[in-house]
Parts: sequence; structure tokens; C-alpha cells
Amino acid sequence: MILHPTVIANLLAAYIASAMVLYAVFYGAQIIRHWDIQNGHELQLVLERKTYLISTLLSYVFGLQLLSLFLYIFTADNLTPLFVGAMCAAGTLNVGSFGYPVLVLKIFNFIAAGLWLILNVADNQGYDYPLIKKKYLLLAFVAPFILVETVLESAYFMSMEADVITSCCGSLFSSERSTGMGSEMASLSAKPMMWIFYSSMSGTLVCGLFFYFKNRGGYLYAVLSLLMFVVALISIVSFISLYIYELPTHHCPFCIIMEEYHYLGYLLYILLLGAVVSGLSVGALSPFRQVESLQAMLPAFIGKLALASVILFALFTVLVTYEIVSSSLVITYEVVY
Amino acid sequence: MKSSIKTGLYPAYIGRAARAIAPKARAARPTTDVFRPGTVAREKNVSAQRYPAIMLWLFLLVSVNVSYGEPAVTIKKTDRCPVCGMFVYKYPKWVAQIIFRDGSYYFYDGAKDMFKHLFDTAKYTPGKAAEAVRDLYVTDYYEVELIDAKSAFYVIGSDVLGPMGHELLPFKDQESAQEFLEDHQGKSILRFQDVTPDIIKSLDHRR
Repeated sequence: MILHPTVIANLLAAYIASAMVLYAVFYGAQIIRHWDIQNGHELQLVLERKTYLISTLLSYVFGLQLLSLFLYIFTADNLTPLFVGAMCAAGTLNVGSFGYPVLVLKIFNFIAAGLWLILNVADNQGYDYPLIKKKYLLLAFVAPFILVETVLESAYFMSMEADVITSCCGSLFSSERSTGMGSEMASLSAKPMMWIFYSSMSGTLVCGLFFYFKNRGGYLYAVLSLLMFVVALISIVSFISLYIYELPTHHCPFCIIMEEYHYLGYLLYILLLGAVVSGLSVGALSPFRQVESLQAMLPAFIGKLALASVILFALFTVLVTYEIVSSSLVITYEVVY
Repeated sequence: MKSSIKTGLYPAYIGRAARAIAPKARAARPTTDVFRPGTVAREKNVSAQRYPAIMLWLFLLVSVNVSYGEPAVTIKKTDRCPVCGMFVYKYPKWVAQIIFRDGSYYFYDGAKDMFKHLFDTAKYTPGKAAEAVRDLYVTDYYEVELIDAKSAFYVIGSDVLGPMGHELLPFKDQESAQEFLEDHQGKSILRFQDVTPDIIKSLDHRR
């Protein structure tokens, strides 16, 4: 294990989140089973008091969960000099076999935690705890993933040894390797991928605006925003990275978070994750529009979420387009330095 | 971001390291510092008044140095290896360089990546054939200075790792290559023409 401050911070964050989530799930299970707002029983009164504590606690824990994804990538980037062959986070994550699974889990948990936080905000706006059971069902669904993430993350950091030869992102995300997700995404040719990205992005944006103005197609937008998130991630590996690095063969999605590229990657990923979380929450909240205590405010809240998602996707596209236009790389494979 | 590291034959800070490691080599190459403006200015002030002969000597030395056509270029903070995308300024001890006939040049973070580029110019620099390469340089592992890649001796299979893992360690003469091979469990010494794509591949696959 490497006792680097960032590693300790990661593990602490994971343990705190897991412990708090376990505590919350314990009471969440009782709420799911015994909650009855009409009943004045003693247990109901205890649960009503507990739910304030738990939802406050969980807002912080899930806030921490959102940050921990970026902390994890930052750590991987920071530890790069310790491993021969690593030049960015990609190499560090390739040390041991748990680096990438933890990253995938963290992205999944980021989206789940974001959805829970939005559900919590919506629930707090009704006077009669309208979404309380759904909220704790979602928590019970997310909790195992957070626990698995903590276990794998511990295994990853604990088994980490310095001076291991790892692979550079140049080979992990290279179009010449035949195996691996990274190289498969990298070998998608740039031009068609660009068409797919821009056409699906315009479709998503139009659908989002249509929902915002006409209040129809909310579920479709939620699905589209999730698809768009995946398409955008593939696009980053396939062609956006090429333009940022101005190298015709460098596809790494992690080098862009480095200082030399002005930490641009963090901004791109924050925009994308924000867009997908608010986009998905449009679909997640739509079924509750008819709930009596929420009728007054929920449609407006969902509208705002849709607008936020559209704006974030649009900003992402503008940023990407700016990088492509201002890049000195020309995709007809003539590199100009 | 745009700040650059001045180099004569190699970056200034490598110069210092090289002098510390190899004072003899430094003595044998008195012209090295002439490219560093600060040094030139100081020497000028002393000599301009009292030692015109020294001035003449300095002038001659500068012109001799330039006429060798050594790579008097600057490694900028933005220079990246076209093969792996690494920033080259981070690994000054491993720098390799290819200069094309049209004057364009590329840096690498090790001889291995330089060879990769050389073996597949169509991939890394489309439109520039291997025949268009004018000069090739690698950094001598002991002297930490750029030397002609074609006349260098490369040790493979040693226990010394470069930024990209197993490397070809370049030396300017057979003796230092042999010494390194014995000190660091090297496997063999190769000349430039002996290096093949298969050898590069075997370096990448060695764990």
C-alpha cells in the first residue's frame, strides 16, 4: 500500500460513506416496512424524527460520494510518477485489476447518488413525506453498490505497489491493440463518430427543449440523456481527445485532466455528469407529478431539471466544438504543428 | 505554459547534471556553454576590454559548434512525444529527437519511441516518410547529452527502466555500453541498424 495523502483521503471518504449508508439503510428498512403517516404509534414518531437526521446525513454522504469520483481520478493522476510506464491516470488505474472496475462503480454511484439527492429535494417540498418510501427503496438499491465499491477500492489501494511496470495510456487507448474496451473505442474512426455525436446531441437537445416548452416526452429525454452520456464518453476517446492533444494517435480520456491541458477534462466530465444526472431525474420524477402534495411545484421543478440538463449538454458541445475548431489537428490526417 | 527551457546541445539543467557526473567530458567539450546567453555575456564583458584574443577564440568556437549541425533547439513545455503523447520536458534524461529535412522536429521520451516513429512514420506523422528524416539523436545515458543515434550503441535487457518501461539505453561508445551492460545485467549491445520492429515489440512485452 502506498501511504500517499490522497490515497488516505480516498479510503477515509469510502469508509465514512459506507458506514453512514449502512446506518441509514438500517432505519431506511424500518421506514419501508413500518412507515404509516396516518398512524400515531410510537415507532412512527421515532421514524419521523429519524428521517430528518438520516436525510441530512445522506445529503452530506452523497455529496461526498459525488466528490469522491473526482478525488479518485485526481489520485490516480497524482500517483502516476510512482509507476514506470504510466504517464497519466490511465496507467495508475491499470496497476492491479481493480482500478477500472472501481472507476466504473464510482461513475454508476455518482449517478445514483445524484438521483437520490434530487429525489430528496423533491420529497422535502411536500408536507406529507410523499416520496419517502421511494427514497429509501432507492437507498436500499444503491447501498450494496457503495459497499462493493468500498471493498474494491480498498483492495485496489492496499495491493498497490510502487515500481510496477504498467501500461501507458498510449497503448491502452490505441487503435492497434485488438482487445480491451479502450482500444475498441479508440479504433472507431473519427469522422463517422463525429457525425453520430453531433446528430445525437442535436436530437437530445431538441427533445429536451421540446419537453421544457411542451411538457411532453420526459421519459424519452431521460433515456436519450443516458444514451448521450455514453455516446459522449465514446466520442471523447474516439475523436475529441485527438483534437485536444493535437496528435493523430493519442486517444487517452485521462490526459485531458492534467495541468498541461488546463484541467479541461474535469470541466468536460463535470458538465457531462451533471447533464446525465439532471436528465435522468426528469424521468425519475415524472411519475410523481400527480401526487397531491407535489402537484403545485413538481412540474416546475422537473422543467428546471430538464433545462439544466439541456444547458449542460449544450455547454459541453460548445466546449468540444471550440476545441475542435481551435485545434491545429486536421482530421484528414495531416498534422500541423 | 509557454515558458521554455533553453538548451544549447541539451537543456541547461541537464548540462549541470552532466558536468557533475562527468567533469572530463565537460572539459573535452568547452563549447557547450557558449549557447547559453548568460555565460556568453559574462565572458564578453571581461574579454572585450582586455582580451580580444579570447573574444576571437570564443567566436571561432561558436562557429565550430554551429557548423557541426548539432540540434540547437529548445524543448518547450508543450513538446510531446508523437508516439505516446507524454510531455518530453518531464524526462530530460531520456530525450530523443528526429529532425526532418523540412526542418520540422519531434522529441521522444526514450529511444524506443523514436524507433517506433521511424518504423511507422505514416501512422505518427502522415505525409512524412522515413526517407525524409535528416538527423536522429538520442541521449547518452552516462553523459546525458544528445548524440547521433546512428552511431550510438544500444544496450537492451538491463535492469534500468525508462519512462516507458524497458528501453534501449544509448551510449556513444562501445566501452561505456559494455561497462553499463556489466553493471546492470544488460543482455546485448545493438547498433542502430540492428534494431528491428520485433526488438521494439519484445521490449514492450517484457514485464
